[in-house]
Amino acid sequence: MKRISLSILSLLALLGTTGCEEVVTMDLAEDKPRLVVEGMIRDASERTTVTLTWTTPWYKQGPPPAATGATLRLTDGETEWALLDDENTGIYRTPTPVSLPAGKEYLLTIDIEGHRYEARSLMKPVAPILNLSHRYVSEEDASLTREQGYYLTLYAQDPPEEGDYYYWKLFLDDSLFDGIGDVLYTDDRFVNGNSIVWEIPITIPRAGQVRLEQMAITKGNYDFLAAFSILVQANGNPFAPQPANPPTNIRCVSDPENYAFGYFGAAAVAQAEVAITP
Amino acid sequence: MGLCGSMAAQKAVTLSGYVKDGTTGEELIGATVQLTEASVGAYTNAYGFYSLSVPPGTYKVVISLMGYQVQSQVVELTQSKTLNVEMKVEGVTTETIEVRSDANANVDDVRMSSNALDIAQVQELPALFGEIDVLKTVQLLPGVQSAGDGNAGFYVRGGSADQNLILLDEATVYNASHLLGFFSVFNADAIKDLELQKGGIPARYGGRLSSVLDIRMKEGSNRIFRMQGGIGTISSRATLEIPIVKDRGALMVSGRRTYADLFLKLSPDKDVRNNQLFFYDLNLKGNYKLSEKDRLYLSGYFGRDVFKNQDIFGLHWGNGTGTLRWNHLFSDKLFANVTLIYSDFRYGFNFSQDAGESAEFLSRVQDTQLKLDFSHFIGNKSTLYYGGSTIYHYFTPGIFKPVGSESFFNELKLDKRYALESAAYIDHEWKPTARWAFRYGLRTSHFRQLGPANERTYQADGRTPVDTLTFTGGQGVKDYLGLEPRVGLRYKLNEQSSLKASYNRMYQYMHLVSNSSSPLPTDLWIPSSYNIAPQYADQIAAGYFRNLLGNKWEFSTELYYKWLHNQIDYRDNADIFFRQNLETEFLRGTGRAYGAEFHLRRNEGKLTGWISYTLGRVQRQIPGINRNEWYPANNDRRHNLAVVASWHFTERWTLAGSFVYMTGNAVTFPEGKYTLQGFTAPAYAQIDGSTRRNAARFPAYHRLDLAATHNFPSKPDSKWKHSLNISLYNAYGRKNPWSLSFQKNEDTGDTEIRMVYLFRWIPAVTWNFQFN
Repeated sequence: MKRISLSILSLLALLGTTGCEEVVTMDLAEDKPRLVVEGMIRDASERTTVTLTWTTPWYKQGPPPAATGATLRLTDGETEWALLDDENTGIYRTPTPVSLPAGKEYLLTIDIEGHRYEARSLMKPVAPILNLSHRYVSEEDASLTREQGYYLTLYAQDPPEEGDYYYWKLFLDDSLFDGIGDVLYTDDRFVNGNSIVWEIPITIPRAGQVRLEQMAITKGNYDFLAAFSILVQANGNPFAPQPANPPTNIRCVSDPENYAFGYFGAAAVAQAEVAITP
Repeated sequence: MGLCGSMAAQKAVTLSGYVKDGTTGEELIGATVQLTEASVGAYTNAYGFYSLSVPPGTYKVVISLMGYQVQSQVVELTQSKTLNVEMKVEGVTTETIEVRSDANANVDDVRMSSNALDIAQVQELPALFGEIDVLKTVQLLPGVQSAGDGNAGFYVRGGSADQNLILLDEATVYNASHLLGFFSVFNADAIKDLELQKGGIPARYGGRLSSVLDIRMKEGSNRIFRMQGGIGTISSRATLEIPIVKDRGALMVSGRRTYADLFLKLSPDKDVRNNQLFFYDLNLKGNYKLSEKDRLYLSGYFGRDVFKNQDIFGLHWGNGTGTLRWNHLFSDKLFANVTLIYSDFRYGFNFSQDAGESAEFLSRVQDTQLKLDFSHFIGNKSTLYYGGSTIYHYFTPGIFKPVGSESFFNELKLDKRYALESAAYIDHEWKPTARWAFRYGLRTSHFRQLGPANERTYQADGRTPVDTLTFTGGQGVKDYLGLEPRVGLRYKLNEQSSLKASYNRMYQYMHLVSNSSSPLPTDLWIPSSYNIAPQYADQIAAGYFRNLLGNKWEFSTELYYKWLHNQIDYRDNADIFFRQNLETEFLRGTGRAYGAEFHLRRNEGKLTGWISYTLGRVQRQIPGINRNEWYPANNDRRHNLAVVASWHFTERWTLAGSFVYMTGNAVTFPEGKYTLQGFTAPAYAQIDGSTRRNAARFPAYHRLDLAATHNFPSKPDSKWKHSLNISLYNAYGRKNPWSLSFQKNEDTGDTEIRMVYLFRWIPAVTWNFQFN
């Protein structure tokens, strides 16, 4: 459904014979640095990773400063894992790959610069990918939403109960499609309980080994993703929602006036691969 | 209610009748009828009717209306008498388009905070793409602000866009915008008269908090066939006035269609070529005089916007209204109006990516209304207005359904909503002495939500459901009662100046749900319900009114203060699309707006126009936003200036211009940034767990528009006239930001602010014609 609201936004692009864009400089107020948490723990066997950075003023260019020196603990109530930043890069990982069990709620605790932050996330089980197929769209058949290239179709079955939230990642030869338009997520509000045959709207420019990861995320994580992707793509557009920070699950428990950005997510993963030959 | 004025009128006789245009037979609104010896006067009402009561005697009757020759005649009134008057058009420049005079009303009328627009002048003013738009001229009045560059939406005295009652021949127009708000649905060729009330709103009107924009369609000439129209840069229009039965009945038909999309067909790009983008309007009005005492009117409007992107995506929306009205004169003192109104607004979209991903959505509001209005001209000091109305609201908030058998979507329907909104009013206008005039009244409104309905109850947070209550069909779910006192007074200092004051309370039972900063056609109207209480507002206003240099110049200044209650704002990241329980996304609080307006106007002579300036403030206090402290509303604009002028410097040429300046909107700007998964997002400051709102400002908005109209020479007896209008929008090319977005430059990797501005130096040419 997200693409529909964007289509309404694109109406103006069609009208806009006279609309012009230019870069302007404005005075902006500056908030103090706030913690930014990026983490998605999964039931796949991998080194569980959480990345910490700081916010910066809008006009300070360059990569975000790493938030180093933090103590991170992850627990499911029974087992506790330590996440370590061995290289002082703000990237905190388990020393070895771990396979976190699905169906549990995880608590992440971060202690940094005298503050304690906490985040909780439930790892929900995921529906399997039943099949993948693909087709080629030639230059003549290309349209506004389907450029020339290969397209993957996903076959899946949404569980009968409403309240499933999906997040997908698509890889070509192990390289992630990482544009903002490639962030794929949906809820099951309009498709609950149905068998899904969905052509993924990402143009695969060439043949190769294609892998799709399907993740079951929480409503909170879905709400965050939806708000974050609208914010990145359409902030400032008068037809977009009023500007707001995406709803985070990270709380500063040591100071309720303090706040953080980002999201701590958890997801069970299903994946499937298909080889596209020219 | 004391009607002491009627005592003096006991032995009085009544002079009443209609004032019409001598050429077309159309009735004229707002003409002044004066009996000079008795120093008594009246204005013709919306149907051209007047009634005056005086002691028997011989009087000189003077009838005047700007743009028409003054008529005077002597009448001997020994008993009550009917006097119908036909007015002759004055001069050449005003042609056949009606001109509304406020010359004396500015000082005399007990009503304040009201502005009438002269449609003839509106048509001379510069317009975006040459599309004459009355709503954009309304935005140039004091206390009124535009919703954005090129946007036809407007805010009145700090009210939001949904707080304007827009009436077209008494039918509510729910969404007055075309093409994402860049144009309004009102085709100026089909409009006879337009009036905006910002405060001191008479008890006759209700249902919106901030203003009433009362638009009346032309009735059509019942004497001669007339035709007018124009060919413009993006649209063409034509209006026919057809006499059906001479002096008894006429028909008016007016149509307009844009053809911007016809140019898309010329594009070499297939993706552009296969798009459709247009709107059209159709206005229709018929009237028939059944007898001297009975008139019947039937009017309708139908308009649609269509946007189609190949077969992949389509969006359509539009209004339809219908009004059937019967005027009856019970006596020369009692004028009655029975009106049956239907109003329909719908929007929908469909998409079809492939056989599986195909669905459509539809939302609709339908109102059926019955209205009774009486004007009782008791004596020359006293007029009583009373009546009532009831509206049946039928809402289809949303239907979502799959298209084709292979679609993987489910069919979903949001619960329909039913409600009955009724009101009764009484309003007394009383002029005890020449200096004092009062208008006081009461409107009682009642709103009942009807079943079937399923309504949730919530915990104190307003989000956690406790229980669901089920109501059956026709069952009353929730009742709301509104007592709406309306008071106005005028004290005349002398013939040229007066003081006025007013108070009104308004209730609003309909709410526009929109989380975007600019009004969208897809915004959803919802009725008050079990969980959504009506909005209400109190407004006080006081002003000084003065005419200068023999009424050629009018000046007024008003102070106003408005309290707004049960105002809706949204939680951060509110999701309002297709929600059964929308109330969980709302936050409720209060608002206040106050300010000073200054208005200087010249109605006569070669140079006409006005200057309006508003100094104002609009704030909100909503628990859950900005730690419950007052914060500026998005439409808070400190300064708002408009200068409008038309210069008829020869018979052939008219030059016109308008200039506007306003403080930028209050907006939320980031105070930092952060990066997740390689995407950089703006970081807003948080306060008490939610985003701090509207602490920053857009740059100021200002713009100059120019237009020249050339009337081609025609023989004095020629029935054919034509003119050419050339206009330039944003003449000095100000880059007014339409949006400011915070983005990362994909090439340099730097974060920057990108400004989009839409309209600079937009020229337009329109050729207009008229056949009488």
